[in-house]
Amino acid sequence: MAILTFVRYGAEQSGYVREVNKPVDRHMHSTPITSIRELLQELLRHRDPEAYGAILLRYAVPTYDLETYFRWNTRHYTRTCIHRNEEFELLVICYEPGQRTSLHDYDSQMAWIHPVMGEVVEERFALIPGNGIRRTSEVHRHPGEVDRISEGIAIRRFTNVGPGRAVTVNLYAKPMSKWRVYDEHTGATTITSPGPPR
Amino acid sequence: MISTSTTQGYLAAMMNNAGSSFEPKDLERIGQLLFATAAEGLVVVAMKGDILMHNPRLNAMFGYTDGALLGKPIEVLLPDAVRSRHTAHREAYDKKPVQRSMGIGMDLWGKRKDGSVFPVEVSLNHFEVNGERFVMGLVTDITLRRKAEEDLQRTNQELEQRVEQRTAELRAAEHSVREALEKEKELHGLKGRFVSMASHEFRTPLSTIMSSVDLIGRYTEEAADEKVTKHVARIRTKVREMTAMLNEFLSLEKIEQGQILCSPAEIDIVHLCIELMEELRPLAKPGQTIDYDHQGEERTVLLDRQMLSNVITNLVTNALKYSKEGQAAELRTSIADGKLTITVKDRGIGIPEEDQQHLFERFFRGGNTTNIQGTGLGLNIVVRYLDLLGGTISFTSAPGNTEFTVALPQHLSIEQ
Repeated sequence: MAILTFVRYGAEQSGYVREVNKPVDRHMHSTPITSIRELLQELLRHRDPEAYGAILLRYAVPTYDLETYFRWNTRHYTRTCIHRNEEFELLVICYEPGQRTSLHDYDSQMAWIHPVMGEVVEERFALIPGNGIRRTSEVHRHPGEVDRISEGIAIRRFTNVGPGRAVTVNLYAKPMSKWRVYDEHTGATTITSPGPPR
Repeated sequence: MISTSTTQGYLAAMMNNAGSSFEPKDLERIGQLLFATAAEGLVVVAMKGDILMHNPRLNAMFGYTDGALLGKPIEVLLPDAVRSRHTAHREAYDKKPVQRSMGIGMDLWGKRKDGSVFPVEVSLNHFEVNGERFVMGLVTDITLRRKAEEDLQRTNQELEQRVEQRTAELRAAEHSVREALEKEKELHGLKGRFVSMASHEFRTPLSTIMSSVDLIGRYTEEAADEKVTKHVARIRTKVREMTAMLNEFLSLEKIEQGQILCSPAEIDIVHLCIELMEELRPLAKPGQTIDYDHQGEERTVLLDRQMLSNVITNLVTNALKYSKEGQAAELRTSIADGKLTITVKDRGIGIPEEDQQHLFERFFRGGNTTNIQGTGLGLNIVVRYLDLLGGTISFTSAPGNTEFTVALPQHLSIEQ
């Protein structure tokens, strides 16, 4: 069974819907979560994607507790899985200064991006059928914010624009099984690519 | 002592021998013949040392005419230097006569009438006739034998000298070889250190160049100047190629120095591949895609992350490098039965059949890759990493369809 596929051009997309910083359930337990173990316990206890955003907003894990999962590579950003089960997948993404993701989307129903260190810019793109990809917006993400992405197609790119390293904690529910990468150059602007996609 | 009775016993035995028709007088004649024709000199000496009889051979040996030696003291046949000593020996023998060779362990010399000396061998015996004791000597001229011995000794000495000389030469050669080997090791180490140092030193400015190019690219992103974008992309590509080459030199050097040790860690193979795809994506030519697919619910392996990354990176880089624009490369991973299988497929130029057997050799490059940059180290490094990881690699190739398959244990044991 194929559970993860890279494709550069998604033929299945039909637009995207995204919700950012959707108000979370404030009635939920509001005690800060101060360790990764506690975070996992909470996620495993609730087993409800609707609660995940609120749980992440209680995130107050000191950096030293997360450092176990930090990996740095001068050639590319890194993705380290903290936990994965049938319900969700929790990742730590580490960026050296200037490192960025590709233009991508994935098929998980919901995802939460939680910057915990540094300054990350999220660029959003729209797929224009038959005419490539167009950048639609750019948002600076800072530690403490939780970016919630609802199911649907959401083409994005994250870049560490700060002078130092950046880290985000990403939560996917359910775990992604498809990851699509897009070529920003072979979109609406031009048919012939001026060079490798970046 | 040769007793008369014993001699008669021998004679009787000879006469009684089956088929023998000898009479006593015949034996006497035979004895005379033997005495006259013997190749050794025979001499009979009275106890006081006078020569009583001898055969013709003795005359010939010592250069005397018939009858000239009879009645002469036996010492006349000896060199002057030993005559007096011989007299004492003879008197001692007379007191305790036994059958023996003379001068065992000594060089014996005879003296010819003309005064020349020659080496001899002498056997002594004694016998009695009518109660009187006599000594019989059997004298052999060993000039030729001695010469042969001397020649042999000389030859042996020459051989020994030659052996010693050759041994010395071999030792010197061995020393030279050792010295050369040490020098070679030293040079090899120096070369390795130079390659490491140069690679490290080159990577630093390259990294700076790349950072600056990234910044230029970002600053000009909005302006979308096609020419700038094109040149920025070209600089990026070339810097990446140079960095990749330097990395290969460094990897090989580390492997050869035994500096690379396996550090197994739990790895999510899917995320690792996504990371690598993200890294390698910029190497893709226009229109090239890298499709990745993982098969199986299991995603965690226990392997050395760096080595595994290098194996996948090398294979995917090759797939992109040897494929044209618009030709997709495929990366597939699967985990089943405790085994991780990685497949990298491309639709590129293929590997010529005659080159396939050499493909994993160091610095080997296919005959159809002349115009494509590369060091010929990549696949050799892959094989070396796989050796360390307990993995294997195989491939099938034809123009437009090359597929490499890597098989690895899902969990690398610490012993490996």
